[in-house]
Amino acid sequence: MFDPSFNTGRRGLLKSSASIAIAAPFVSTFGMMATRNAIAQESCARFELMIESPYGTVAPVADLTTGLPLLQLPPGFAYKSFGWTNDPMADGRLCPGLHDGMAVVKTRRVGRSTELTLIRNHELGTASQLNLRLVNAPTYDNSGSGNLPAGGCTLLTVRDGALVDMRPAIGGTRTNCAGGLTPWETWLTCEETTSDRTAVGGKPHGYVFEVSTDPDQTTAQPIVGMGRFSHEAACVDPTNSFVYLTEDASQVSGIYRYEPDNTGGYVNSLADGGKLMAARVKAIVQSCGASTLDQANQTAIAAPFVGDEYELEWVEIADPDQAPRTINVLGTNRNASGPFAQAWEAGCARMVRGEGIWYHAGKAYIVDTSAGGEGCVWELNLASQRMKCLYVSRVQLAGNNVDNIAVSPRGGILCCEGGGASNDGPLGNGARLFGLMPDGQPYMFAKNNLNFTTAQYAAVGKSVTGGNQVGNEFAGACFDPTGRLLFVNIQTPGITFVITGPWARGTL
Amino acid sequence: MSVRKNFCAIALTLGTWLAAPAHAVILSSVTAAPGDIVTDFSAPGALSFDLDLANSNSPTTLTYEIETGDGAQLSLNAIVRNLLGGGIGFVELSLTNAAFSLLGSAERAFGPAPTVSGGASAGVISFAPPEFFEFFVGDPTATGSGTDWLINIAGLNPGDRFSLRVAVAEPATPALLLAGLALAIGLARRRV
Repeated sequence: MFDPSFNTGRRGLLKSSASIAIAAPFVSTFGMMATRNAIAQESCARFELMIESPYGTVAPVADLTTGLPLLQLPPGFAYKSFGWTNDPMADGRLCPGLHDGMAVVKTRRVGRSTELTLIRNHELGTASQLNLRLVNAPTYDNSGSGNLPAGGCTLLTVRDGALVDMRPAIGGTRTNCAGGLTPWETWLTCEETTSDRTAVGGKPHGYVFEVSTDPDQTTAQPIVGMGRFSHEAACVDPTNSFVYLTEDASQVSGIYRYEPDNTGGYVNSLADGGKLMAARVKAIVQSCGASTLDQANQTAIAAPFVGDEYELEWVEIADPDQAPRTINVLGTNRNASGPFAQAWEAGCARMVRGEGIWYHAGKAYIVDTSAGGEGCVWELNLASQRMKCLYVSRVQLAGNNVDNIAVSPRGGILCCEGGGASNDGPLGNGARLFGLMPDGQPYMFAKNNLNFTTAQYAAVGKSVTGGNQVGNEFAGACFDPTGRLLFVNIQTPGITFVITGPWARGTL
Repeated sequence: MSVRKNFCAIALTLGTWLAAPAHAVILSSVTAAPGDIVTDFSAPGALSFDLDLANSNSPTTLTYEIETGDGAQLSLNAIVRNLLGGGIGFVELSLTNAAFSLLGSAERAFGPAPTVSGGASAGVISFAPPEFFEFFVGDPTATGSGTDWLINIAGLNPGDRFSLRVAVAEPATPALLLAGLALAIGLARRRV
């Protein structure tokens, strides 16, 4: 399946030596198909279909842990599930649910075994004291009356491809959506909320926290300088420790950069203070929707086309901790975060809803989950500060609200859908993982196949609620440093997967 | 008595330098394809290594020298990590100037357990479906879940050498591997 009307030849990627080199290992039929797409040239386009996957067509594959066909994957791929909601953790409590952002933060050899440590977010709001699960870990907010923040992170230890330990890593935070890997083997967990519990004796929320694999190094204190807003994700430029941040607030989402005072790049160095900056279009390189800088900042970034490109500058946000307030955005009063309100007043750029962000090889890949119809991916060159639109989905068949994003060690882009099930004809309904070709064209890599009863789950030792859950979102995709293992979550009922297979057949 | 480990091949990474063990062999040379990495973990009575495979175009050959003529058997275990990007269908472990007295186990993290077949001069590990991640030969992490292979060196004297050759084949080329196995068995019989 591909869209013959779409043309990526405008950007010339398929004609470049780099793209030829990348495409060379693929099967010839795929190369022929991509060439056909390039011939049908059209400017100011958005994708409408996925192309045929270089990995082949997905089909249900049995989980090596439970025997249930939880995922649809291409031929040759195998996987195991682990770390389910309600599985026991090392402290005896049950694993919380709503698995979300995740990364492999540390790799080491233990004896001759290869040990990977992952930190995984749980996007939970609040719960009663009795129902809290992330309690035996550094905790931010566990005071005051009423329900308490139940979100946080778990630490997963995987040795030789198998889970050997699962324990809490941080608690007392809430709505931990995605986050970001640091180059110094820690995780930035992001609260996607601006709620405030100070009136009931608790603490304000909407911050980023650094989480270490060593609980003694996890302070559970917010990095206030990164701003108080609905944080979605973060990534770090390893050359200067700048942290790029996304905001998930409908129609009032900024693009931010935290410039730390301490650029040493070690555990908790970001907490030494810094400046929060917001992105503003400085120059239009190419745009289908903007002829002025105001248009670019106010509307065109939120409604992009493939190939749009802008040069950014950064504007300091004077008060990163400012509380949310109402502002007028293009004639509509909207409740915006304090940082966004300041950014907007300074003429900065606006996204529809910022989601995942991932650093790879000098570039940050930034997601807007709704821009252009069904979401887009920007590629920000950190050296030139030029941000180019790689992919835009006009309809669900080309990608249903891309959410989290990851880049494999080989440079392949993998997107998690967050918009629910899409009907792919004979492949049925289901949320998808999809990859992007070097020219931005999407292809399906995996499909959610969760349609099992509670009894079926119980029969394989899992205590979760069943039902038709094929539309539940993927989240937290990340690769091990060798690129042989892909880890990813399905948020509900809360399952982590580790997938391996013939990666070299495609771009991932 | 002591064990020596010599750098004799590109891409050879040595494990811990061991002192004063008895009845041991020396890893005297490694022939490996560029990009492949061998890490030696051999200890008294145990031939042990990790092989990180980034290039399947040529086999890896590890040559060992007998330092003491103890006549003992050696155990064999290994971890083979597949960094090829493609699948491994078969792996042949063949010996020159020594013989397997036991073909132990092989295990992997993803998929059904591989099968082990062969004889005194060579063992073949077969994967169906192919292996894309890594696999264990014997019990390299000493968890008790696997069984080390055994190599009989009873006929060798101090200074004698024997070689272990590790060749991997993609799923589409089992015929080549089986042909190699047949050749190895034939040569071994002629030597006897």
